[in-house]
Amino acid sequence: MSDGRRRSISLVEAGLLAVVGAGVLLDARGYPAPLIEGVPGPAFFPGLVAALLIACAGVLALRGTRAPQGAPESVRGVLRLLGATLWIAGFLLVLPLIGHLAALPPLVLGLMWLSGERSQWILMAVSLAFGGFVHLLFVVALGVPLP
Amino acid sequence: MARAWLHWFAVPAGLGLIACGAAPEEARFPNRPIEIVSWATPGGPSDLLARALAEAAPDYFEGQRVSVMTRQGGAGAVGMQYLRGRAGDPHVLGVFTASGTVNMATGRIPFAPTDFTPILRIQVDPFLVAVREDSPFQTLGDLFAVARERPGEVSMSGFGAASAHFLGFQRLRAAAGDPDVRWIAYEGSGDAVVAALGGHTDAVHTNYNIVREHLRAGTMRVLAVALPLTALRDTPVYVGEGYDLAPVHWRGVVGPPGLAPEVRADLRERLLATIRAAGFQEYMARAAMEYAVMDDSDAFGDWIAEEVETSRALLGRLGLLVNE
Amino acid sequence: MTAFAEGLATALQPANLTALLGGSLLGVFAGAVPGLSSTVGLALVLPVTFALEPTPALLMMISIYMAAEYGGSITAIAIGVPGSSPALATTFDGYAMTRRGEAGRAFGISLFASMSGGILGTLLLVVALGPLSRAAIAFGPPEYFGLGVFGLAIVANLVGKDPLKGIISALIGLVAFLVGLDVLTGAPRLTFGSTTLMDGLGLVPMLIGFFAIAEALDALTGRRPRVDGTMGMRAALPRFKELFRLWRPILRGSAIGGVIGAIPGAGATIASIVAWNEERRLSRTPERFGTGEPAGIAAPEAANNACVGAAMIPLLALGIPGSASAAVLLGGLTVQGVAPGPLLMTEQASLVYALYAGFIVAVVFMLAVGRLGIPLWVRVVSLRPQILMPLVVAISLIGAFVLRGNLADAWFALFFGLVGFLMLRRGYPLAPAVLGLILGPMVETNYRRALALSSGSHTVFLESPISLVLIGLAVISFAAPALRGRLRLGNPDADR
Repeated sequence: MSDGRRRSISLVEAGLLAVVGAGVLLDARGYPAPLIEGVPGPAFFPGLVAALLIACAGVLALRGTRAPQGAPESVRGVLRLLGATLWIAGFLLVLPLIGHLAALPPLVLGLMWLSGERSQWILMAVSLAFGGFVHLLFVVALGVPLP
Repeated sequence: MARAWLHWFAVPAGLGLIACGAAPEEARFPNRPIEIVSWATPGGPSDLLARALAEAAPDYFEGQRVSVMTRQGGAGAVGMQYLRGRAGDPHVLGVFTASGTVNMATGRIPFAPTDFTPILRIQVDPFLVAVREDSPFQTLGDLFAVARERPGEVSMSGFGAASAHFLGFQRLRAAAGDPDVRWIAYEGSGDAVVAALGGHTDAVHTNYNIVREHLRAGTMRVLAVALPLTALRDTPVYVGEGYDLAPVHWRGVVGPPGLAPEVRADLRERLLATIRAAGFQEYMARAAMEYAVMDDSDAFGDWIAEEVETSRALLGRLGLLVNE
Repeated sequence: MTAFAEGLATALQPANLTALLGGSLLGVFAGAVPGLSSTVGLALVLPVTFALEPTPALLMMISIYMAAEYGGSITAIAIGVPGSSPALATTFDGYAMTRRGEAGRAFGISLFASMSGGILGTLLLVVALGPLSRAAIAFGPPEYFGLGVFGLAIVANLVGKDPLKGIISALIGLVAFLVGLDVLTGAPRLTFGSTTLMDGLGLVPMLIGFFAIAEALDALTGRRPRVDGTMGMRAALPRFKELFRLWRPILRGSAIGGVIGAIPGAGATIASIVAWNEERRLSRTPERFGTGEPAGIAAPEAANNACVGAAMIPLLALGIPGSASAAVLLGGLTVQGVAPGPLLMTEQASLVYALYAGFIVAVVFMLAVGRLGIPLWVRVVSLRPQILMPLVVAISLIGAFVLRGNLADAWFALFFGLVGFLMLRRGYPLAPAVLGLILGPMVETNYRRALALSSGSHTVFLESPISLVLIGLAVISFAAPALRGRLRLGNPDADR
């Protein structure tokens, strides 16, 4: 990665933090006034935190890059990351619809596959066993209703 | 045991009647386990009510398993959502309290009383004002008099902001002519009592069961209570002190929307039998709760609607409505 | 003493032993599964206790509470995910030791420290019930504010190589705490009109997101090698000599846990982080903390188990629950017809002594379950990472749901997972953000509450000696690393 590119990533990072701070400030404008005069109301602390965050973002932007150096991001790594995130989100979406017994094994299987497990036998056995284990433990033994 | 006195106000042993299904159609109810949805803090009074009901209910629901379904979050919205989503299914019930109506009134949660089928009210838990034993205040009048003389110097701790406890106190304050008593909100009723015990606040606005042991030990005194309680026989009541109102916390059971009248009547009979069971009565006594059953479901529904309206009007006056 | 012996005899009856064993097993499980905690474990058995006699019901509940505080450290040491929030500080050194291949040693230290802390906390409960309950009452808004600021100053020791990023991380945690209803006015903040956000984002989703999901995502991209337990994880336990050499951190940790645990609302998470920090501050080699220092496991683990006994102080003496777990316990006591409060000691002394004895026996059961379990935990660590990580993520998501029966918490965990991943990638330490989320409410609410009571006068913070001392200590602990940093480069690898 070139120095210029690292610098621009650093700026994006600082910008993102500043946007979060600005968002908090903006939201805080709608909070009710203090109930008692002279005593900080609900907007006081958010204002303080947001101001500090923006100040820190400013320092971050000015001082230049000091991000940890590591191996460059591989395309396959990023794809695996996206895949895992979407897979988990998909699990949370279908969980209330199809129930934990049907939803858990595919979740575990997918994540194991993305992590590089390729043995079909292990993929099937571990994911099914885990689904059954969770069901027995939570629903049967502890009486916790799972979706 | 020293708690024998508690049984003074336990309702005489119940009738023990088991309600049979009213209509032949309903003879099949209940045909699967019953769920009682609880969106309250685990271990708190409302959660305990749900669990005590679940414990006593199977005998009156044809032996079906009755379990408490915890659905917390969103100021009760998560549990209410679950209950509302089971329209027409009498196998799902919910414990509904004054907090629910206040949250509806503030506009925090998108629910209305009509989203549920009222069944019956079980407990009324009157609010009271308590002070540490060495407090200079002997009566509510003393407290309000000082507040009028030195505005903002008298502090009152209590559970929550724009909560049922807060509104209960605001109603009392309004009846006293709006003296400037500073409400200091705490995360729980217990924390509010500690604040008063430690002398950080001048008084606490809470319920009887929270301060019961401190009253018995003499570490705290009650200035006045909203409604007469058997256990607080010699304590002044708001009305007697010249404040003509009785703000209370209350808890009852509601069902999902769209229950047919005969289904609702059936549920009401079964729940009435449940709360008259010996095991349930024991819980009531131990939790220092007195029955205040409102078994006319329609009257209970009117009560809920009225509570929302009263709260909304008061919140509007205090400028605390959440913009929708 | 005879009363105590009678209590012990009661606790050793067969029905009560069964309750203790069941409670210990469930407690270790609830503590170890991310998302579940002592509170959830207690809530789960609440219906079971309805059917039990008062004594076994009580014993079951306290053994769950005790064992869960230990159980949290298992996951913390094995995979670097705090099984429950009080084990957060244990991840710093415990997981570092596992990465060195010494999981067995870490498990042994944690178990021994937990046991010692549990016993010392109980002794404190027995001898100091009265005085400590009076001290707890004296803790008002200015004192809580002081404690919160003191806790936040620990960030200075968690920032790692880059102080600016550590501070930004803490600020991110503070922003996360703001989401939800303001305690003092009920005003919704940063909820954007959503009811789902009204009760806040929550500590547990953050812990799961940061330490389970973010780490798993990071491992998936394959840039950093993860611990591979298959490469010879040693199950060897520490020698007794090593354990006994840790008596100082254990005593200090227990004392910190005993005092902070007795203050309602402060709790085991804060106590264990403070204990870790104090140990580091007093050490002659503070730079070794975070790299697998035995004292860095012993102190926080002693502290969080000492909190169990200490949390009973406000509960028994005042009838006031000082923590979420104590609140569930109070519910259980209420149903059993036991009303804690100023009169409990005089009216139900035998029950109180059975409770004291029960705590000691619960510690013994915890020790047994823990000791027998260590080979099993080591085997779990030895699973191949491509199998272990998916299972951790899956059970964490389930745990996040079970916590409140709210699927939104699992979504929050995923959200924090992505935030945590980005923070890890850009070199931000995660622990300061967690500290911000935990202590933000204590600092803000009590600052405003104190000023509401003083009509806006700041002198209240100076008039209270406790608050003054705590704020002074905070200033020192924030300034000290900065001064040290001028002399030599800061501590390496404290960035977890």
